[in-house]
Amino acid sequence: MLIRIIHSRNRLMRLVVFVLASAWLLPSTFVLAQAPAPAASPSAAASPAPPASVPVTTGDIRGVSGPSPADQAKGDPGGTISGTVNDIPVTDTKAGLALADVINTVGQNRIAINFVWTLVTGYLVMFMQAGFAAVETGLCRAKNANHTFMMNFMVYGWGLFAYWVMGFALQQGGCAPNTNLGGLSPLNSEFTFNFIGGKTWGLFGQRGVMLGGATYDVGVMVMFLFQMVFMDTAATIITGAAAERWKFLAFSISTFFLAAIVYPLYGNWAWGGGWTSQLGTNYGLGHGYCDFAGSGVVHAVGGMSALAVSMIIGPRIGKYTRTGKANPMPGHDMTMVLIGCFILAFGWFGFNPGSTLGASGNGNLRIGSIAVNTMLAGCTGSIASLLYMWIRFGKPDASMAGNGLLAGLVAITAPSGFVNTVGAAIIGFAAGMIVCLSVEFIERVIRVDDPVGAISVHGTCGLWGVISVGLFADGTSNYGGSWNGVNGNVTGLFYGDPSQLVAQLIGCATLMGIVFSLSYVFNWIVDIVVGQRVSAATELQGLDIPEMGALGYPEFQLVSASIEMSAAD
Amino acid sequence: MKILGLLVCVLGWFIAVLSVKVPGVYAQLLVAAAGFVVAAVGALGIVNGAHLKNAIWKA
Repeated sequence: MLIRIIHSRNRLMRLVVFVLASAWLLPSTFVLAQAPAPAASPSAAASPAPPASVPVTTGDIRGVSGPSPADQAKGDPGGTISGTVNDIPVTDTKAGLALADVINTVGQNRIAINFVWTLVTGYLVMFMQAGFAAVETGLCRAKNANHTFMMNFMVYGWGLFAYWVMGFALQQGGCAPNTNLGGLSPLNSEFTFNFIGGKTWGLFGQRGVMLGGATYDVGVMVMFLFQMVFMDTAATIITGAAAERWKFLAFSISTFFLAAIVYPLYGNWAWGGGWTSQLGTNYGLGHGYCDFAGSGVVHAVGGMSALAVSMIIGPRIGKYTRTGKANPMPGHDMTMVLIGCFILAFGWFGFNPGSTLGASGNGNLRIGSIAVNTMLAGCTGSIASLLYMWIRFGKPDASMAGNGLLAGLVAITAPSGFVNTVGAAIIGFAAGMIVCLSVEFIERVIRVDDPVGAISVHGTCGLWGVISVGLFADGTSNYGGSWNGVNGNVTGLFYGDPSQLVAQLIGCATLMGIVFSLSYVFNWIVDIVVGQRVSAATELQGLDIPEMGALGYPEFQLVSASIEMSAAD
Repeated sequence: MKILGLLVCVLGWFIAVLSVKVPGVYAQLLVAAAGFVVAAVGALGIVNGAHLKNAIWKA
């Protein structure tokens, strides 16, 4: 009896060692499939040897027994007899548990963890639409509440449809392989051409139109959902900048264009294997353009497009005097604004940590660091804005504190996966200051009317976030050996690699030079064909009835705050 | 003017991209930054300037 117990324990120990070794080996193998193996570090020789593989046979596995049906029938209040060998699916029930069953379960569990992680964080990002709707509507006047909220609402509909039809294919159609989500092998075709120095430049993907054909794949579906809600975030930035004067029809067409073409193109260049991500492999610029979760891809694309639309559409009636002096036009519900900011801050925990596209393997356990960086930058951003406004104007301005929070979050989005907490706090604090300066610059110097500060929060601070990767990346992360096909860790100027900053600046120039221009041309055409702006009468009345047919607040009598203030004077 | 501004935007991008052929990483930094500034001038200066000429508040 004693011998039998010892024998059984030996088998159990060997199985445990085997499973641990498999968990260690599997991600390493997948990394080799994604990119060349990283160069051995000088300290590699001194590192402890990896766990020795132990030959395990099917016979060993069959010797492992789980809890008996009688034990399980008693329940498992301590959680100690659930999740045992009994729960491993068996391929051949007659033959019983085989070694292949265990190996496949280890692999599938890793992918399952990553699927669940990516989907749940995607759901969080989707909920950010509610935050954007609340922030933008609260910062607009009550007579436009229905119209502003509906634009945010229908961004989801128009954007999703356009992205499904063609946007996703353009963006991610050539992004394979992705080892976190099972390979994504069907997304394997990128349109390329040779450019400067005869190097291959990826321009757009070619697989995944309407998720048909081979892209009817579980991993592709997860990728689609996650990328789609990111695109939606970019699209909803424009509705804030163009609020209170944008024709709903023009908004609908413009959103379709953004989701189908403009956003996916830049997304491909950064995340889909396109040319900016190849700046490292092609030209030795750091790890190529690095944008972990989208300060550039999502926020600056939205911000540049918002800038283009705001220029075309022009300022609201009454925003500027004849001499060009800006009049304040306060929003109608500050509580809605701040609740929206909190919803966005909550959703950002999906945005940034979720951008690992997995929680298991390839260095993805860094999600804890990414989440802390995210909350820190938002915190320092709101503090910086609050202090700026308090010192400059004598009051702690609520709307700018909210915008400071968002500015910090926008700025940390690109570097969140590459920086330490001190870097994150500095990036967020700087963003909180930058957003205040940018709002004043855009309103008073270049006289572009942006009712919610979207161009500053997302455009300006998005660019700052992209640049900050090239400054603050601390060289401790690479998510599986390489990033953008370049071995080693992403490192910024302050940690010894100035070439990373060059790649980031090229990304910024692309946002300002190409994304702005594309958005401008598309929206110029829309302006010529259907007209971007409502009539003056509609604008003065408020867009709710003329554009939407219903008031946002039908049982309230709306009184202009400026009239009330005049009466008080 | 609007088209000129857009062309300057694209020129700025092209200058930044050409930095990859410049020898020396700090020279590359300067050229890439210059490209970004040119693109910004095209968008914020020239394109926006064209819109401000006929701004609604000047009427």
